[in-house]
Amino acid sequence: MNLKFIILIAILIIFILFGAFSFKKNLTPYVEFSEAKKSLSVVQVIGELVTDQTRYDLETQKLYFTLRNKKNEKLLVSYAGPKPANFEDATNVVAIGKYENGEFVAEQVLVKCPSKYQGEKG
Amino acid sequence: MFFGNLTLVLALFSASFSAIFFLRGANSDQKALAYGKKTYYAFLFFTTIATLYLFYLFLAHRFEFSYVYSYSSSDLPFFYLLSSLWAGQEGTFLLWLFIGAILGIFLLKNSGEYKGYALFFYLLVQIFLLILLLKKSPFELLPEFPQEGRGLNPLLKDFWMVIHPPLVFIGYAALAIPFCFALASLVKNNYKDWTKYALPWGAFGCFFLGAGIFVGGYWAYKVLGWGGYWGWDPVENASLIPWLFSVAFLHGVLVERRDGSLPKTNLFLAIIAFLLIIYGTFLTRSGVLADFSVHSFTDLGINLYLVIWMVLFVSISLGLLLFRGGSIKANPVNMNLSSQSFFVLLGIIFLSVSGFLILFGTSAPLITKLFGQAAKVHNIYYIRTNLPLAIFIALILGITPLLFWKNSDWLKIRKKIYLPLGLSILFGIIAFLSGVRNWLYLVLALVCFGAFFSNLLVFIQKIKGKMMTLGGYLTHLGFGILLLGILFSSAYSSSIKVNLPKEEKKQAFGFELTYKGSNKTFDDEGNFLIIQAQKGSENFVAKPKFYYSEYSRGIMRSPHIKYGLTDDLYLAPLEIKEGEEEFEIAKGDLVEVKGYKLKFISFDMKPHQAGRNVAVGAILEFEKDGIIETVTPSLIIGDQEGKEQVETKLKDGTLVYLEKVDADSKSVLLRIVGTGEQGKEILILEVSKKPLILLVWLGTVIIMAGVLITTLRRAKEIKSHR
Repeated sequence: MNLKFIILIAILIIFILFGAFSFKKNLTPYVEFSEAKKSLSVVQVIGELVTDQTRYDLETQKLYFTLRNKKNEKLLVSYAGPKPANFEDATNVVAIGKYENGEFVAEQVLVKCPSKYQGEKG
Repeated sequence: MFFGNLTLVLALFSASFSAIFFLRGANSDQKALAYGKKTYYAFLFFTTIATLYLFYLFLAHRFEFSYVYSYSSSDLPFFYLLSSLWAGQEGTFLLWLFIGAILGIFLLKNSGEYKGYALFFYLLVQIFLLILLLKKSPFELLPEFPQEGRGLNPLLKDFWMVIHPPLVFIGYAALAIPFCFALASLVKNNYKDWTKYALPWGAFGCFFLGAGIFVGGYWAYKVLGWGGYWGWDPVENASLIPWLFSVAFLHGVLVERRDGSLPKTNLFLAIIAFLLIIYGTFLTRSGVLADFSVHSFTDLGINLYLVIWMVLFVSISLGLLLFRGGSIKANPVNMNLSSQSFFVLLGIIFLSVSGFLILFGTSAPLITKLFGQAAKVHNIYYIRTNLPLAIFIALILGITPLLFWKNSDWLKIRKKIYLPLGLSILFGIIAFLSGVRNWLYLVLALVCFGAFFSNLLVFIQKIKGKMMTLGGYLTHLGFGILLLGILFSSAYSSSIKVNLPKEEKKQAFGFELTYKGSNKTFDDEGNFLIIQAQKGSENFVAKPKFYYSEYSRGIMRSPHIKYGLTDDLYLAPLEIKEGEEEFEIAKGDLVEVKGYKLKFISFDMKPHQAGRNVAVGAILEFEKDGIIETVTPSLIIGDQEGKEQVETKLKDGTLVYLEKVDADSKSVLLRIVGTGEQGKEILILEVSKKPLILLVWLGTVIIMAGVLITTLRRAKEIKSHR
């Protein structure tokens, strides 16, 4: 009975450690553009959308846009998903992804809007 | 404003008095309890009036009320006006309060010796909701008097989205009840009967919260158009986490009733499930996760109240649990490996671990902020950590029905094992042959088949007997189906993007697709694209949505789904590219356009026609297949006639215009009109195939049926024991 209890606790500890390890490994921190270009893992960047530089490329079937940060550095972002609603209205755009071959390949794009636009799910 | 807020203030007063009376009457002071009941009915009355009044304001289109203005318009049908009521945060708090007030009636009748304290705590919850409502009232007036409202978000104009919030809030309101009974039993230091009253409400809450989660998932799949039913978004996780703990609670009570073990665990589970509802409300309503969620949250200025609410309830409940913990008597847990009892315990542990892991993931931005820069976790975290848990849980579900409660004799259960084990292996082989080669997925499929067959066989055996005892088996076999559906539809979905020039046939998954243009109307319902799809003799017209919405000031998209028995074909429009493009380019930059690589070499300035006019040109290099063409479109800027453009043409007929010159940033605005395919309107469509997704919905329906049976069974128990 005592042995089983120990095994049970051991399994639990393994799970907690595994969880903590995955947690640490899969964190996507906010970084500067320069750092994003060097990083090998998935990171999060934020910037202002550069106007008139958003386009959809038919060959790569991706959306391309450029972000500018406070230091006036620019970052070309590509995104394979649909352009988020309110994209043009956004004061800031958040992109989560990895820098590859001269572009920041976003997996997810979030827009931050100035308006009092509430959550879709209420 | 005055009337609406007055009803809320009166509701707050009556709820406060009622709470005080119930607290005074907690030690069987019948007179105080009677007053408590009377004031409770006053609270119920004012809450109902407030809710009806808000609904009346919607029906009467009183747009001077900010809330009515923000979420409705006069052309909305009755059904959607109802959902406007809970389209915003203020309304959902009122809905939560209203449902809570109604459920409380049953508490007045069936709460035995816990009545006073249970109702006191219950009213405390309602009081907090009322304070939030007064702080952020749905009866706020606008400074002006608009003639028309902003309308309802087109995403919410869907049957499933109308019923989703009420389902979730019935769940939230109901799960407050086991929480209050747990606190009442801790205060009274009497743990004999509390689960009898708490269990049916736990099951009831589980049913509605579960239904709300499933309906939300179906809505996301059908309307949102990101192809999935679950995105691990904080809003979704906020309802999943308490649901997992409430499921764990239901199972814990079963063990406590039979073995007398786990009393502290069950108190803890009932408490934590509701505390996590409050925590989830805080996470999703306070704006703390605004940078980390696809759902935009707004800070309503109620953060402080939410924090106070949380801190107060956490300290009261966990404090009570710690204070009483030592004096609660418990039998030792059954550690016999051949007992159902032990496996149910394992199930509770795995459910809780899953709940905590999702909780940590969702709270990542808050946790990491303590150590520096806030960061969220990637969705892979949730999948990686929950996949092994899902395997263990499915395995437990498969084994448990074969065992006896206390101890199983191998010789007796041996025969019961062969059939489900054989069937699972057979189906596992079929899955392997149909292409499931990832060993982890294969193991998951195998244990899911086990969970399904082992529960199905018992279900069939017992169906002639007591129908009411079958809820568990039904739920568990449904869970096996749900997990299989999740596995196949996500791990084995395939998707391609096709460019569909108007009126041209293109292939996708054996279908011939032709984009026919769009049907445009002023209402949201009639605004869709028309795509003809043909495969042999089978053909259909797909009507996905892609249009500019005034309400959200952006493109609204929703997919077209061709439902099928073995798979769904999911057509989601990504983008429409017009035949001409306009974009800005800076000197020295390189972009890709209309199949060309375009480089802006330099400006070309020369005086024009010797007058005061100036011609500004842009020297552009177009490269395609190694051939370079240089053109110089220009703009003649005069002080009299305004502007004049000089167009240039590439060899294939593509027209290049210079639209604007910005000398400061050394950039120009170009307009390029393509020819041939490049000159046509092109729809970029994502076509996905989602195998066996029907199993996801089938699984959820069966789970709901099972939980419903359990709820009815436990509700009957309260009455028969009275």
